[in-house]
Amino acid sequence: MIVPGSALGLNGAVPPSDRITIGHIGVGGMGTGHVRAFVQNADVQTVAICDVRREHREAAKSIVDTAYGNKDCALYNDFRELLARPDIDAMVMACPDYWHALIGLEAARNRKDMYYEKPMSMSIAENQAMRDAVNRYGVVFQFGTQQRSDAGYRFACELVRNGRLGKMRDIMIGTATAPFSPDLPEEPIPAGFDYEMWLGPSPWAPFNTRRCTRDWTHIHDYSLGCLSGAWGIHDVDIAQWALDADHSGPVEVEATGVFPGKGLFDTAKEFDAVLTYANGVKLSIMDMPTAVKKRPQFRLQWMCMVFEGSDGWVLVGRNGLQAEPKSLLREVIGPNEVRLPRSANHRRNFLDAVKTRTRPISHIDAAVRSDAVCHLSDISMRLGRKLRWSPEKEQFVSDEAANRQLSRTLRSPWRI
Amino acid sequence: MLTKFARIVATGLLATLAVVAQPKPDDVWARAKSTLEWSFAVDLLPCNTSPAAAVCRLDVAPASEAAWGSALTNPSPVVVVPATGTDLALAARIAEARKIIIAIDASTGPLAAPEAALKAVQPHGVRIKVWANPAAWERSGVKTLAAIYMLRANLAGAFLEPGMISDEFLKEAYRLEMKPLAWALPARDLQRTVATVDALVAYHQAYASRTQGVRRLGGITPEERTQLESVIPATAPAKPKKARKLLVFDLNVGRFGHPSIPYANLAMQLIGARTGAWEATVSSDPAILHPASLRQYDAVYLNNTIGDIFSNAEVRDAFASYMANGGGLIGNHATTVTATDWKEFGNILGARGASHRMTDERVTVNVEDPAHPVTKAFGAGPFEYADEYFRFQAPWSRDKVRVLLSIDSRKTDMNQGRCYGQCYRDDNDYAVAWIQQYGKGRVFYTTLGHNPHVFQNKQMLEFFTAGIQYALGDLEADATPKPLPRAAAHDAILRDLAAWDRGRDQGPVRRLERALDMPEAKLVAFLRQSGVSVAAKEIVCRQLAEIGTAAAVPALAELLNKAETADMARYALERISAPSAAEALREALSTAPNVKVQTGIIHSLARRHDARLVGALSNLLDTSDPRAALAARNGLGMIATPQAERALNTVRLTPETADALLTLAEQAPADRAVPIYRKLLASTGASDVRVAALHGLARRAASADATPALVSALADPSFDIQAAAIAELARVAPAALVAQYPKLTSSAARVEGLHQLAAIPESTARPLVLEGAGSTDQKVRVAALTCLADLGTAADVPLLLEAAIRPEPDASAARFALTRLRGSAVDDAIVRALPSSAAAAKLELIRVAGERGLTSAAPALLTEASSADARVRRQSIRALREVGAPEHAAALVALLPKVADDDRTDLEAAVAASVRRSATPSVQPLLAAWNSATDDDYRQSLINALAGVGHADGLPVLRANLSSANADLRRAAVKGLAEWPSPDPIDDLLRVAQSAPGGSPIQVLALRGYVRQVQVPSGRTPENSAKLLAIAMKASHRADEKKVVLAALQRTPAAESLEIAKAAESDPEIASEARVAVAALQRALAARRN
Repeated sequence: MIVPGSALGLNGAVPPSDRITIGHIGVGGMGTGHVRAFVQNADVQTVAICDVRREHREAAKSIVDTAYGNKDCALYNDFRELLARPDIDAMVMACPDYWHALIGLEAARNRKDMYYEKPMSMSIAENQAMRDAVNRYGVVFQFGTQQRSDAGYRFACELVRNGRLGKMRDIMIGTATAPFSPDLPEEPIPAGFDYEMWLGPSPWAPFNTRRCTRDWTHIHDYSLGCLSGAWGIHDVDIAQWALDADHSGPVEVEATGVFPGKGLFDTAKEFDAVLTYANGVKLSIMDMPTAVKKRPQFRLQWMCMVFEGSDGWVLVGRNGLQAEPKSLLREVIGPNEVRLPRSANHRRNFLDAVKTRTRPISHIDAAVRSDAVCHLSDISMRLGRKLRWSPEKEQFVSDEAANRQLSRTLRSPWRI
Repeated sequence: MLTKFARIVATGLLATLAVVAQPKPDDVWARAKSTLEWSFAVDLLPCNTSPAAAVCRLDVAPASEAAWGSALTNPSPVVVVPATGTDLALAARIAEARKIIIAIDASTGPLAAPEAALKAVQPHGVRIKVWANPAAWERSGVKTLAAIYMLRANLAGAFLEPGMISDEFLKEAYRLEMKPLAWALPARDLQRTVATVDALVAYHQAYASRTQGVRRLGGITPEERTQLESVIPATAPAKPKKARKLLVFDLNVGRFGHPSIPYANLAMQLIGARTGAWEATVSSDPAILHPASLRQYDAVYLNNTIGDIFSNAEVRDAFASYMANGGGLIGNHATTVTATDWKEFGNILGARGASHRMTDERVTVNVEDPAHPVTKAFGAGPFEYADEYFRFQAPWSRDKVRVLLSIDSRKTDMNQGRCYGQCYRDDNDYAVAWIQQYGKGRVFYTTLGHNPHVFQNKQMLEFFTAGIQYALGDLEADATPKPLPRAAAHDAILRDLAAWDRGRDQGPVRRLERALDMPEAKLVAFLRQSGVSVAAKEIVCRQLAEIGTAAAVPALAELLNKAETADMARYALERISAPSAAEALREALSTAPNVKVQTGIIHSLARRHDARLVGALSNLLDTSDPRAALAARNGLGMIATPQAERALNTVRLTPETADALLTLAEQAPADRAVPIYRKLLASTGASDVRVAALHGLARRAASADATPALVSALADPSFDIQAAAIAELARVAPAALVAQYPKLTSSAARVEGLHQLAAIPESTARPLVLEGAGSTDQKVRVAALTCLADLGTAADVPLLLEAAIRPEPDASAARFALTRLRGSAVDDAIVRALPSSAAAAKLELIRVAGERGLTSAAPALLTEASSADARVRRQSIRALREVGAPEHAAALVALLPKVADDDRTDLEAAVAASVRRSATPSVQPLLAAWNSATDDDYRQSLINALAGVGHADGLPVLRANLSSANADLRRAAVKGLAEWPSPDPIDDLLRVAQSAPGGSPIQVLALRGYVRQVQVPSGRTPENSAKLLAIAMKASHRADEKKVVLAALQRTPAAESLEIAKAAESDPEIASEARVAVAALQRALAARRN
């Protein structure tokens, strides 16, 4: 159940003993945004910051120090030290994708609630390990797919759930497009940057600034690229929500991709992943240029998703909704229909769940299932063929080569 | 009423006409005229208007000289006459006498077919021409670009309908250097055409220098001609079987053509003449490809042709059967982008695609078969050569065509300069020339020939001569495809990979991944090969992780012994199911070079659930290195056999050991898992472990078995344990939770209990929640009220209503529940209670009715909207905005004249919302009211409501009020149009923005609305949107508006946007916004080029 914060007496001053103590792990662009936002909450006390870049963690600390008027916020280079602190209730994690599960597992073992940036991890096996650990320790887990806390996306899902589009046929996603794949020469490692720790479980590679800043998200050692962590997972998660598939998933996947032939990037630049659900609905995940070629609606908004049923379509993106017939947008979903949980703010929703020990709106089961859709697409694209998937067993159906892709081996000594 | 509408319509029309007169396109026309020698007219107006337009029309052709005289007292230079009833001989005399052009209108009637029009005008000399209407052509299926080509010398001009073919048509007319020409443009879409013409002028200015090569057609300098003659082969390799006719065809549709075209044309004529191998005919007339004329040629050389050179489907089909029946085709360079929407042409030619790098890419070319007669000129090769090389796409395949020349990708730097398109092929196979059989026909193609120098080179001309003779059927040559032997292909892939390193191009890696038939044995041998980079071995290990079998194990095992390569071996060994893989890992455990590798090996074996590892791990449990000890614990947990469990039970219960036991319990069957959970729950360890054990117990034990333990945990001193027990009881034994709830003592536990009770379906917990709702403990009370959202019924509406008018936090919790309560009975209770409730409760009910979207409450709300209580009135109007249906629109409109000023905006919104709630909205109630309204406030409200609906029927009212004498109405109209959902009023807004005093509120409103509507998605190109924004920039008087325009430009990636933004950088008031826009546009434009 989603409870409004005001009903819990969460407005106004909160005594220190009632505040949720938070540590941030990973304070790059997105992580710093979280630092700024969480520190605003009266019922939060930010006590620690961790990053492998000295300048990043110090900049984040100054935000916290300014907000509190003291110098108490502690700094860490190694996330394990932060998570070992018994006085920390929750962590907010915004590291590169390949670190997510490792840090999440360590957090669960230390019984930290977590606001966990998307995507889930680098493999389905890691996702499952995360789900086991979250359930094992009963920690509160919020996945960073904040579109579930956006009224527009929720409304689109409610239209689908209540049959306003008729019989669902297609859900199509136009996600981000990778930039030009650069050649990146080796550079000296800057002072204050723990590159060995940055690499962590991923294979050794020569240092280059762009590899470790804006470009890692297009490199397959660190991310699935635009298909998932670099945007796609957001919309995939909404598609799963609309299909009421938080505990299941597609039964077939056929994905094609064009990979850059040169340069540093090795995630698909153009792709079209088509996933079929047991009820016949097809979900397509595409980069924007491919999407525009497939459906004219994608001209209406850069990066968005389209739900298409027998009686109409609705398009939703961060810049709002469009629909045909237009009257769909004025539909009212009454209290006696399927109404999805209301959350107006993803971080607030997490904090409320921490206080009431309830499941946040982007809970672990939803996260694992949505993330799996991206992995299935990536695996099919790389194997270059259609695959059948069993959502019950979470395995490909009699396909050893594909099932070998369900996990990734980490560089010693890291493990999941 | 009719008069009134007539007035509105007339005003609207006048407004439109006024707007088109506004954006004086004079400077554009002037530039276009001086550059392109064309004249322009807005609309095709009747002749004898003053001043004379560039072109005018006569609806009836005069029948005598005298009649012509009076029809043309003030003649335009071009006069358009109907196709029927015009005496062309007479017209020709008139035209000659007056030195004008008389053009027959070929848009409809008997001359609509270009061939017929041409035939009709040709006998009457140069002053009788054709007046075209490309849109009409397109509609009737005539290929416009082919038609303009046919008519080029006999065309007087055309009426251009923007949005059809006009852009291409203008460009083609320009390319063909057709002048003078007159264009008539429709007034209603003038801006678009102005933009097109302006773009064309810019195009001309940018490309004028590049076009010289083509424009010098036949104008090759004498020096060049002498040079060319000196390299013409003296003899052809084969003796012609008969006199051969070669058609050399060089049409470029909508393009300027490659600079080499005239050189190739001349060379082919000279070679044919000197060697006697053929007689060449050079043409760019698409009619020559029609079957009747095509038939006379033995082969067709499509010299760098681009675009749709085939006039229609019959011509295409005829060409395909010409080839299938033994015709010859020669293509070079751009021929691959000829008729791109005709799939079969790709098959005929053997390839598609024109991705390329620089025009002087330096490449090492392999001669594939030194004995092949077509490439004899190059000997055995290889040779280096610079030109622009295409990378081909499907249907190209070495397996389908006989490759003659190809790029040696190992000797060539494949990354020279920028790439335009997709410059890499997965197979790394880049052909330069080939021949193939198409049915009985013969095809010769080479990518060479972008640059003129190709046709000034003796070897190249010998090569072309041989290729053409093959296509003509005179030179016997083997066209059997020669697929690359797979073994050689595999070796080539691995050879490229051997030197690969991280951070380098991914090409070699991609090629290995794409080689799905790569044998495992080759990968295994590669691992043992010397001179192979570590990174390359890692890539191969990843491949073996996918396909490896026991055969790969020994080579992988060797890698385990070195720290540098141990991890990559694990990628594969962890996944190879053969027992020997596990064995190799186990053996390496004792010989591992360091602890890091050792722990990695343990993780891999643990993932395999390797039961035979237990002994080794047991020995490591108390090793001195904590990393190895931790790995051993975790490994035993993953392996999860009874032996592993026994081993873990021998060591002290630290959090790490507990975590391993929890992992183990999750893998083990329930009869082994439950005792582990019980043991951990009873331990004195950290509450983390005990909470985890409690969750595990609840999940794995039978409900009856788990319940007593969960119930006793409710009394645990740790709140964490209590909370976990409450949550689990709600899930596995809700009845027990209901029974135990009264025994919970702490406020926190009760709150937790209430939250969990709310989730129990068909709850017996309702009495507990109702009791909680009356608690004196505020936290408990609030939690209970919140829970009623899920557990409450219609019977609880009075209770919640009472709580909703209490102070916070009760009020919020009760409102939350009232809004969320399910059931139509709840809806009924709310509607029923509404009329008779006291003011405070009534206000809550009205609010709830709105939030629940209760249309059934609308009648009651309409009554309350006239209540004496101002708060009730206001709340009702707001709620009506949520629930008003189309049938309530009239009643809501009727409230408008009486509404208090404070509520006016809300009521206008309610009216609009109620109308819009229909699938087929009708603004009739509003229009009816408008016609009888006299009060200005009322009329203003109606305008606002019409604007809120945004239905086209309301547009005339708003337009008419743009010229209202009442400033408020004027302002309301501008505001409404500015917010109009479609861009229909864009011209009205522009007129206001340009005519109202600069910076006045109305001007600012209109301008902002105009800028917004330019950005509404439409079929308009960014270039044309940029033009419209340029107008907005000129009309901006204040920095604020200029910033708005800049923001819009920033989202409009066109060259002109960038120019405007750059110009704005010099204005200090907006410089910083301009810089942001410039940077964003540069990025966007660069991305588009990529």
